[in-house]
Amino acid sequence: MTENQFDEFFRKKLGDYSSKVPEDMWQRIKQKKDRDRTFVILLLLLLIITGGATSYFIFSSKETANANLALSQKRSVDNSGNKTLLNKKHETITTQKDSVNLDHNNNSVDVNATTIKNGSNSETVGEVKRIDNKSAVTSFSNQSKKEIAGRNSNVTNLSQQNVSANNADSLKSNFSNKYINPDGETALKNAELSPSTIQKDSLKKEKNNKQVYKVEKNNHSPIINNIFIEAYASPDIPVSRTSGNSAYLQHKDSTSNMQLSYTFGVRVGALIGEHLVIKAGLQYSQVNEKFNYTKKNATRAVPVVVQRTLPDANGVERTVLDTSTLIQVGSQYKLNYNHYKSFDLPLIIGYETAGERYKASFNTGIILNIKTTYKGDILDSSLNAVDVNSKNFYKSNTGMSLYFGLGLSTKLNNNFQLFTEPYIRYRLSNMTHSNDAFTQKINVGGLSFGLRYNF
Amino acid sequence: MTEEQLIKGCIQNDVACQRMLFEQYAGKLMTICLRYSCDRPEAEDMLQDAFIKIFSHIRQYKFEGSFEGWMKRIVVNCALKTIQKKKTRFLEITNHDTASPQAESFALSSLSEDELIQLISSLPDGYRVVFNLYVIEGYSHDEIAEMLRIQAATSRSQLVKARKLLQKQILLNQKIAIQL
Repeated sequence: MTENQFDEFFRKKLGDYSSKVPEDMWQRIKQKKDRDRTFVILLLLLLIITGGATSYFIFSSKETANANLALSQKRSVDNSGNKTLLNKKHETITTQKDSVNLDHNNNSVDVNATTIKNGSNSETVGEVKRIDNKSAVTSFSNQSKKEIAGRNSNVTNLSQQNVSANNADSLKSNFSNKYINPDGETALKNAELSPSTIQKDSLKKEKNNKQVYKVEKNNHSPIINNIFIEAYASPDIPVSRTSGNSAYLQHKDSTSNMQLSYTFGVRVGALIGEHLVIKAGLQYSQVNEKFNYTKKNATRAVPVVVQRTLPDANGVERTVLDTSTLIQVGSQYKLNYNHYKSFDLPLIIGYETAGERYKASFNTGIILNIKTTYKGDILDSSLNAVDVNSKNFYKSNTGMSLYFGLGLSTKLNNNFQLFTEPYIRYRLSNMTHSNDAFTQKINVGGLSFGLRYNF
Repeated sequence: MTEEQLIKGCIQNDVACQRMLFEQYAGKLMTICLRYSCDRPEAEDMLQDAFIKIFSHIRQYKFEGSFEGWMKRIVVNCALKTIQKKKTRFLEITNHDTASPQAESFALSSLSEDELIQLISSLPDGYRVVFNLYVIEGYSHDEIAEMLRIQAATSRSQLVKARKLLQKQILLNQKIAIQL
């Protein structure tokens, strides 16, 4: 029996043979399919939640905590420079000198249910000035103000519940004053201060070189502060990573060179709380590649027609055309520019610093590919230049990429911001099909320039 | 239901269509897995992975060429991936004895398909893969070399060795059968 007969026998016998499949195979496949899908969804959710939570809680909490000043019922604050004591037990602040100076960084002072006791005979004025949605400025001084009744040697209770702040520039506070007799007995008396009264007090106190303290509400609830839309464009530098058959790759790398590429897109975003930013949009990216192909010992057939004039039997001259083919051997050159075009859905989460004119940001997230198309030439397994689509090398959906960017922005006016953002896009999966002779990933580094419009 | 309708149903993640597709082709694809694996549990794992890949990549089938061929290629690739994970070594022939035992045709014809699969499964990984790719799938040595990232000469030598081993095994089985 020859080798061919031997091979043919196996081919015929096993080519279309159906083996027995375990009965529970379909259930196993179904379960694994569901498990894989659940895993991918969970992974995505985890990535988004972890990224968001980390950005928000680490960065936002630190900044807010440093900036906040709130009276705490369970903390005693000893301000040695001004001899002010917040008595933990009695929840009072005793002022023995002229003014209260609270350390913003170290003391958390909760206005709620806290009393301030002026130990000397001097009078205490409390005022709360709202500076934004969450903060207020409280001033304490020993300047006597007759508008506040019964405050000598008394304890003033500032009730945060009664503090209403409706305007960033106005002072709008209600004070529930609690009076304590010198022997320690407490008498309650409520005195409501009108915003205008407080404002007057504030101005007077400023003249008298009083000290001003900021008290911010410790409010972490993520609220949408701003919605914006931004358009951007970026020159990109693609970096191709290939693996596979070394001989093939050697030829491929020598024929292909990545070129300057670009990305542009539009994103809609929201500022949540003070610093957290989420964005989603649509972008178009094009990766350019120079394909420079040289084939040595290439042959081509050239038709050659030779015209001859010959006399026939009668002596009449006739024209005869001899057609032949000339095979030419030489080098074949081909220069082409390949384009890898992709439409993507960026989902970005970021942390943005608070700044009046300039802001810095760190952004991360995922870029989901919607569709990728390819145009150009590629080497096939025989090292001939073929159309990139003819061999179905590349995927039409290249999956997910990770995005990292560091941004800087400047305010042009109340609505517009100009920004720039160096970024990296790292692909998680190959752009090629798994069954190909080689695998390829094109990662991209770029520098975005864009304009943001705040609604 | 036509094959096209079945494929379109699978593209839309219709579980009933996926089940029908599985029932229609599972047997043939199982044969491929058995040919490439060294035992049945490994073949079952291969088949499972292959079907998951088929369902997740079925959108890529462009209704050009045989769908069965497309699926078979995926199964073969899954099998090759599994084998590559095992870091199969393609050993060169050390025995230069060219005279190989020739299995007689009657000895071959008496073997059932399952016995043939068993014989192939008993081959060393490298021989088995090359034998399957060349003899059953019909790839050339150059294509095999590219797929397995080996030299074409290595592929040829693996095939020669595989044939030799198979013929030896068939003759041995025949002798045992006669003795019994």
